[in-house]
Amino acid sequence: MIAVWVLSVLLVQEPAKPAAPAAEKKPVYTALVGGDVHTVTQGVMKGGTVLLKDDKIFKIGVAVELPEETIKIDVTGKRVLPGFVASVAHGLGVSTFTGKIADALDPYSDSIKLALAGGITTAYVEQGGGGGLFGGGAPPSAPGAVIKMSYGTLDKMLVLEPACLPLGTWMSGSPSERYDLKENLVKARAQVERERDFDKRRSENKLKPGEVLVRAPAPLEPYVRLLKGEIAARMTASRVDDLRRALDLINEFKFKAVLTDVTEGWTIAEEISRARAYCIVETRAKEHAPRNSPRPAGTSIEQPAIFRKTGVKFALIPPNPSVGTGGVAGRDLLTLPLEGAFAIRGGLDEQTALEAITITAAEICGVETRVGSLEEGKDADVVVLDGDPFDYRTFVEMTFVNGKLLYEKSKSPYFSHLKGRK
Amino acid sequence: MRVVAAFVLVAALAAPLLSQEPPARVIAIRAAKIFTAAEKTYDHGVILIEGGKIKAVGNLEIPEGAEVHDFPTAWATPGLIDLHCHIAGAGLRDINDMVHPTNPELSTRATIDPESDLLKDALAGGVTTVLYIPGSGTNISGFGTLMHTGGGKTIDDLVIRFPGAMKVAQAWNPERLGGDLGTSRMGMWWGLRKVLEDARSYNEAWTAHEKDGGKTRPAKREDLELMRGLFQGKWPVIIHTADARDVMATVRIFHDEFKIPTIVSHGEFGGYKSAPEIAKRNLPANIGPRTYDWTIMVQDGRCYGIAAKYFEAGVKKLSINTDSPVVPEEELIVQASMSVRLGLPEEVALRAVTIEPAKAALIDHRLGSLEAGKDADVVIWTGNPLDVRNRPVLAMIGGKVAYDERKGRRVTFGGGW
Amino acid sequence: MILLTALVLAATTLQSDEEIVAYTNLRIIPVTKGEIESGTIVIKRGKIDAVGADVKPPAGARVVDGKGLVAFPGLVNPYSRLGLPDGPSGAPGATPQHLAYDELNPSLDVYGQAARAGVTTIVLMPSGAGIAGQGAALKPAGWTRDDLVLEKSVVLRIVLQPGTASKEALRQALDGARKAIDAEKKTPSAKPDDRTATLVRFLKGDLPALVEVPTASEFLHFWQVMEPYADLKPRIVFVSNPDAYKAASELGSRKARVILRPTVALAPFTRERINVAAELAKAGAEVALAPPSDAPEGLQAWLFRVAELVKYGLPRDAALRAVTIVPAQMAGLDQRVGSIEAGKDADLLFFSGDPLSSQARLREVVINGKAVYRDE
Repeated sequence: MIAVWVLSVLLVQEPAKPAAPAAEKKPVYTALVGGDVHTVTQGVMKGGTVLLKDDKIFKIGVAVELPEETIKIDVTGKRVLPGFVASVAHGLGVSTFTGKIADALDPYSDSIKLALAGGITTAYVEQGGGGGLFGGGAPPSAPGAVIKMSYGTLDKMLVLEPACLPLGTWMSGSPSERYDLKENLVKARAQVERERDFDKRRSENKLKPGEVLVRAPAPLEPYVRLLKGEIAARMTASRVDDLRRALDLINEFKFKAVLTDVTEGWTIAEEISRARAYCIVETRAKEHAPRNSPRPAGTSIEQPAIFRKTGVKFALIPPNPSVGTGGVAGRDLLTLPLEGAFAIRGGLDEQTALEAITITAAEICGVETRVGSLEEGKDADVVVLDGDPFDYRTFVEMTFVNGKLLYEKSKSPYFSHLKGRK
Repeated sequence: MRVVAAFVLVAALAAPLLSQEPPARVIAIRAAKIFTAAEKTYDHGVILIEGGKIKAVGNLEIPEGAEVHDFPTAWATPGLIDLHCHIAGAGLRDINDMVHPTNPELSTRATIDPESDLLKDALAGGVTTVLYIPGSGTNISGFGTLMHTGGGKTIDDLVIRFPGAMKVAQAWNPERLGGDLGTSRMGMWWGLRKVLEDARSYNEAWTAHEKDGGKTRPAKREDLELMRGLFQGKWPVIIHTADARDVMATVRIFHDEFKIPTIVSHGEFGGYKSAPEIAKRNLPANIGPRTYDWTIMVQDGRCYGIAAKYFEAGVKKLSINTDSPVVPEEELIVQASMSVRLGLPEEVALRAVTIEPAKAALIDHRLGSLEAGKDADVVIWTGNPLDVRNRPVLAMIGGKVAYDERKGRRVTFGGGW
Repeated sequence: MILLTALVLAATTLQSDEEIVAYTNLRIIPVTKGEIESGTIVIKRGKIDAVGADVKPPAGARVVDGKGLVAFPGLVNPYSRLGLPDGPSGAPGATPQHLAYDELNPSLDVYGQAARAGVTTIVLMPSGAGIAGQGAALKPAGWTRDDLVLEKSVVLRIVLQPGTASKEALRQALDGARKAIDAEKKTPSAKPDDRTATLVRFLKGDLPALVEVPTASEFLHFWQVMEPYADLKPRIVFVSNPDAYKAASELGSRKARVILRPTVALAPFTRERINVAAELAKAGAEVALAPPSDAPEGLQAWLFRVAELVKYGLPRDAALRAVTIVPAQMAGLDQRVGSIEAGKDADLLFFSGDPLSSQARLREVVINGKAVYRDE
């Protein structure tokens, strides 16, 4: 009897299991099948498949094996591109309060929905409202942040903050302010030298006993990061003298710089190229050269083409770098690729025009390892277009951010009543 | 004596010959596609030009001795026409004299700056004709000038017709904010009607006087003189108007009541809801600078193409404008492109920047399409003009080349308010 | 009929504390249980002694014939500044130790007005920004603070703003509280100061927080800030603007508790109405509806607006609960108010018809068993 009882107990009792790990979420696979895949960095794959796994691009290929339960989306006849990158974006996804942009992100903002309809998935934003007597065209005075258009979620919305070191003081400060800035750079350079030397001697075991690396004081840190190449500087430099002033500093200290509002850059493109400075170009900026100007001056629609020829890397922005709802179509971020089309009008080739709103724009924002092209391992920020991105009739049909489908033209009221082109 | 006289006679006869232009040659333009804005579009067609006028268009033989311009991959279109332009003068200072609520005595002709960089940009953008009008700061801001954007050095060279049109602003800008007459629609439209009534009577009196001459000569009024042309159907009134209510007021006052040639201009902010009434009366509508209606009057979350809405409501006489400098004048074709993007058929959009504005401005006997007998205002494009990647390479006004990028490409493009 | 009812009610003007009153032939909406077509409520010593269809008036009870009347629990307003002066707002700070109780000025007639509108429990908020202080619960019956106040510290008011300042203030305050909790574990006798003690009460779930959220995105920021403290299980109630509908699925999946004003929102760029309360309820959130405003018109219009929401899709049940038991639960007062149940305070409203009907009149308001208002 007891034996039976013992036996039954033994039979009933299972060996103690190890504590079960927290239930792992199964990865979500989404596949965009059959479209022309414009990777930007690795050419065009006709009739390819882009397989997303959660928030990353998992596989790109012509015959990709799809795991069970993959959400398949047929995009035959469409074009699949990386989401567009707006290298300047005003009033997009950020409430107008001061402090860190991370704390002012507004994922439920309608401006994000509109940006998604224009195919924008990543944007460089600055703090709105506070600081500056100027209006929308203000020189970058705040360090800005790179954010995703991840409507409805704060999770993974912030990509990078601070996203630049603004050096507006160099361009428009008083002489003593400029002097101080230069001093800081000199000190920062010395610090970088010291750190390099310290690391070298440490690796060779040549440190003095008890020697410690003296870190830079906090105010100098940003400059040290700049000179180490960890962050880019942004400066507004429109005319030739402004540009040369900026280039002088860049050439002396050799750091990654992004120049904005570059109107006469095309006249000294070689100098900009030698300094390896990046430019953010408003394709359709217009200023006439003064009558009887002794040198080329004013703007040129050929600036992007000239930059390409001389090796200057640039991103393109519209006349109104925000999501406009004012009624004049074609002048804001809702039609960012149009700026590429105008650059093509001015002689630029299509590939570079595409890079200027994807990978190069990402490079300018410091996030090129994550976005700007369709490559395995990068963020799943993808757009599906119903035609050539530089055709004025093309619309965005779908926009994915971090692997989630956040915009569908056919389901959104904005443009669903406008018939597709095919 | 006789020898001297004969010499003088010969010299006198020869003088006109020597001072004359060389005899007009036939110019032939061959293009991959010719959009005439008339009945047909021609593939690999030819335009023949003589004496500044179009002689013929079609798949034609080029006559011997003709000066041939071959553009094997290009499009040819009529020069573009914009009926709502404010950039031919010295800028914003030149477009509004806001003395009285109505100023029919003012005109833009004297403010034209033939050297204007903005006109040169416009020409390089394919716009050969503009109706340069005053602003909308008052209910009647004055008379506008129909003019070419290039091909001449003086104001007289450029002017096609003055008056081009009378400019009226129905509402949405001319409201006086000081509380005086013209603060509300009551005051504004009372003022408008008064002037129109005066002008009508003035025209009747003068027409009668001109007929029989014997009666008492009416007093001359400088401010109403040019308005006679409205009642004689010589030139139109172009009205800045918006939203359904005010568009209807425009239609009622200017067309129904005073029966003068009327152009409904702008028509934004839900104005398209009155489009059926415009269609019923077959009036011309001149749309822009806004190309879509969204947040203000339309309340269903959709982005509507304004031109498309007017077209769908049956408005056939549809033209598009820039309201330059709100949109740069050289982007007139881009306005057409955007309208297509938002639902307007391509051909309608191209006609909206060529023949339709010409018809509305009562100048279509001379301009607006590539047809025999009309002025040779022709633009050659690198491809379909609606594709913004294409650009004009040549612009011809009255048969003479006014812009040729081979002699220097104009690179200033864009800008805006 | 109405005249008879009025006479009968008039007869009950004089009540002694020991008096037992039984209202009979009532239609009763207890809220937490099913509606009773015809029943009796017995009130004894300020409490509901019994309620039901089969309840008989006890011997010696004064019987009031409630034929034609509908009994409903007194309305609970969970978020009010009624009778309090406009306080300073400004920079977000952390003053959790401030009490709305200290701002209370009972001599104003505003509380009487509230009672006459059927509001029998009010949670009063302290002024200020950031972690503003502790709210008090009161009943609008009486002239002294002690008469009015039900509980001195019943909720913690937190006012959020977009931007770093607001979040930093919150983070630092919570960090301090966490440290105090840890310190207390090590040294049980360690007593934190008043400020920190209040925050500790909040974090531990003893003091619910009413968190004012200015825009839908601030829900997300708030959850981000609160994540490290989830293990302590603080009780959160949100007070939100109509744009909360944008976060409906998030609020629903977290079964969040949200106080809304009974308005409809408009979807952006459209005239399309959004019944925010209905959307949140559908998604799984728990919704309370505060009056449109503290002004007398707002209080009078409260049920009318709620009825509008029902018309546009909010289930009737959810609507009735939203002005009674749900706000009571949110403020931790549901043991005493919020429904017609035996053992709870006798805070009752007697309507001449369905409370959500625009034609029903509020005939009598009873607080703690005493009639404070009669419609004469």
